[in-house]
Amino acid sequence: MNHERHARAEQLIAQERVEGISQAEHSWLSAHLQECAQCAEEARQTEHALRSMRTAAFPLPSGLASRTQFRVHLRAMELREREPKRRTMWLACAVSWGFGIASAPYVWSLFQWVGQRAGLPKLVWEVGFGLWWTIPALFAAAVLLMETSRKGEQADWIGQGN
Amino acid sequence: MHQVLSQETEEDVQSSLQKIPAIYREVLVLRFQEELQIEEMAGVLGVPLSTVKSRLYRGLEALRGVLQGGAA
Repeated sequence: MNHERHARAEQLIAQERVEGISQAEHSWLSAHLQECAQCAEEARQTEHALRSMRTAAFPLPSGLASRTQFRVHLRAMELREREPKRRTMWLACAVSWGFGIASAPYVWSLFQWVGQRAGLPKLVWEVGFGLWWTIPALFAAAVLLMETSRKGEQADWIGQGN
Repeated sequence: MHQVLSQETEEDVQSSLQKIPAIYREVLVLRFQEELQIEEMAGVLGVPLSTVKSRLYRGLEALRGVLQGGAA
């Protein structure tokens, strides 16, 4: 039994508890622990210490709670700062939609004129006119959905953090 | 008898944890007692993920060290 195998086992024992290990690593570790009493004892002691720690109801270190509150406060401020930007975005959307509705007859005439000049079938320039309106609207809807989804995740995270 | 042993173990663990430096103690408590994910811990502590992981590894090492009667 060489030193490297013990070192690897020791590293995997810790890694399993900190960030997890792969199935292959788990199999290797289990096999090693069955044949190495020293590493098996170390794994047992680690598990025992952590189990005791879970049941010991050890208080959170002083200062951590206030630091967490501070971070949540900063996050809330950051979210509040975003509010005026969102209002500006909605205002821009409203202006854009108003302008779009007002200019629709002219855009329709333009598409018709270009379609006739280019000898395109009526269906083609009509579809073009439809896309002229729907593509920006779909893009805006996607951006808003992404923003809403991200906001929801942030709210969940803050809820869990408390 | 079992209860007495459990109480001793609990006291041992608490006394061992007190010997571990605060930065390692807080990650051990957050991970194994409060059961936070590493990403959540990074958010709460305001440090990168890699820092949380390295503190956890060192904290575990220190915990094992103090439980075995060595220095943290």
